[in-house]
Amino acid sequence: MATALGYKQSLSLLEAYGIETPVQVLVRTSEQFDYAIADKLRYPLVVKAIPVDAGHKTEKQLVITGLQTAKEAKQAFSSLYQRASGIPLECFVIQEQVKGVEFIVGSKKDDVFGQTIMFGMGGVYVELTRDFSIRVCPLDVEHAKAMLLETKAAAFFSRDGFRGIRASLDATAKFLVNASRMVEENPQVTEMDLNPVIATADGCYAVDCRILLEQKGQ
Amino acid sequence: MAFDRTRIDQLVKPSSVAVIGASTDPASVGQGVLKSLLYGSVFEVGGAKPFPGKVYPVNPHHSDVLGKKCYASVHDVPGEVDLAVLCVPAAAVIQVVRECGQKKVKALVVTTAGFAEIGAQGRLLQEQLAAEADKYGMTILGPNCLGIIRPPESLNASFALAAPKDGEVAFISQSGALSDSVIDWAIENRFKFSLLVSVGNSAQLDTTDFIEWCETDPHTKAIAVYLEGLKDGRRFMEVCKRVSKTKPIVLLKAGRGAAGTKSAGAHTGSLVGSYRVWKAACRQCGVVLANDFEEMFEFAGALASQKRSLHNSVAIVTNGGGAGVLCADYCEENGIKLAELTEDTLKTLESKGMHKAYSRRNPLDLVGDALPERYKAAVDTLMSTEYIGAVIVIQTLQTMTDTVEDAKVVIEAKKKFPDKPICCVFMGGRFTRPGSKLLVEHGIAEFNDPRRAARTMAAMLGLL
Repeated sequence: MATALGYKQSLSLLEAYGIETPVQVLVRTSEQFDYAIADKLRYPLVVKAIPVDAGHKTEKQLVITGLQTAKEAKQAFSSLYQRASGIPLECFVIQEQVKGVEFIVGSKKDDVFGQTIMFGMGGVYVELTRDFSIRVCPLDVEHAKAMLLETKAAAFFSRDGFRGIRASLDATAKFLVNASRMVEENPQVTEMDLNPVIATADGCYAVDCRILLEQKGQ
Repeated sequence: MAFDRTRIDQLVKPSSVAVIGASTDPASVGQGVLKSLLYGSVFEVGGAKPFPGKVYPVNPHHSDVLGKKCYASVHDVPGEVDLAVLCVPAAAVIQVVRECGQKKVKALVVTTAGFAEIGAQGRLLQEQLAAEADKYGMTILGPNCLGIIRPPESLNASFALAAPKDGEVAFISQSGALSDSVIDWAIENRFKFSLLVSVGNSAQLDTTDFIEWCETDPHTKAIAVYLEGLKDGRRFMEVCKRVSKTKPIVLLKAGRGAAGTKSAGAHTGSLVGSYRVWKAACRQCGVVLANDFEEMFEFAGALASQKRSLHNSVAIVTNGGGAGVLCADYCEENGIKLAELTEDTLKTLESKGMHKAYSRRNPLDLVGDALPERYKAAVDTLMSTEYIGAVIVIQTLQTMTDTVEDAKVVIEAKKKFPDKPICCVFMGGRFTRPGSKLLVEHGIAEFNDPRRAARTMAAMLGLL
């Protein structure tokens, strides 16, 4: 069995390896929430409730996106508060919404080869499409780019993008290299989902994360 | 343990070998090994030579075996013993290893089964075996293995049914029984080996050690590996990354079934199955993955006799439209890019004499009545064209086809352009055999099936 790393700790681990995340604030109470949204956050916003045992938040409907005003955000917060009643929560998160292409970046510790890194198209459907590439860590930028370009996501990295939507090859490759370095240097991580990862024309951000650790003494 | 190549040298180049457990029973492993050493091969095959060094049967129950004096214990052997092949029951192994250590034997082949492969108790016995050998600084191959065959040194320290001929491909196998069948098949299909080793349970030396040893073995030009599992994947990758630069490595991996595991609701775990990781790892360290064992040897054979190329731009020459189109399909499936023939190339071809109805495009259909001259015009032109990286030559059998002369055209072209991979599909049977035999003798991969040719070409272009 593995245990999940808490959200706050996960964020510091990502930050330590230069993996960018959207601007976000972690709050516990509605007073903290009101204070946070009154401040510098840029709309639209996303509000999430983070359970202590962070499963897939979308499936449990603990994420509300596209909030354009402070009023909408407050409403979202209170409905999440209700939905999450009975679920032990670590915190609530208010995040600036990033517009771009959704990917998944993951890792899994293989019995024979150790840490591996995976990149695939879009969010929750990757298990259906099975369009993804894998490498054994560590990874350099060139290999990371090859990994990105061997999936159907290649279209988004081309000069003109796919239907005008472009994702930055450089930023996404750098993101992969950082993620690979992170798991390589943290062998206690047995599995990781950065999902979704959203890439824009000039950046790449881990919007949500789930990091599983080896349980001590096993 | 850091790799020490002298350990494998001791297995490969002994000057004296003792067979411990040599037996008068023709059905025993002990007699099989002794025959392999004394005659070169258990079954009669052309060209098998007896081991040129000293051979000592050891068994307390016999005074002589196969006409050779048999010693009660390794201690009684008059001279030095470099290599001992153990064909004794598992319960006797540790005692025999100790005696070998005292005798200053350098290396052991432990054929005996009943070690780690049977569970916890066997694992314990295997650890004891390794510890005992380490105490005396002895090398161990096995346990639970078929042994080692080194045709260039006329050493057959195995109970394989026959010995393959001296060649350029090293075969490292985790399965002993499979090696046995492979040898039989190899003899039948003219495959030859620089080394054939069954690593068994790898109490000490494992597959990676042998790959590393092959790096500087002058007899080995390509390495074929059959693998079920591995302990240290990172070391395997590191070694293969380096070795594959000079010696191509072809891997057949068994046990692909394991899909990803469902774990704690994360996506990645369910997606990343172990064979996907193997594929990625092989790609990262330059190892060619074969789908079946015929492919493994076809790839290894082709890679041993021809240079690899990264110029993925292939031309197909054929005297039959259907075979050409099929081959083009298989090429596409395997990531091979077909070159687009330019007007210049077509002009050159026409000046050298093409049929009026020739295809004017790739696959280049020379039309059914093509004689060797037309093949020569086409093959020479395409091989000498800069934007073409490799050529596949297809020959279907028509009444006027001259299969031997067509083969010579390809052989000449290979000599002239050694940097461009070339392989052939000479479709047919009895009447194409003289041509295909000639090709194989000259180190040109030849197939009856365009799919296999396309796969081998993909391997030579680093696409698999």
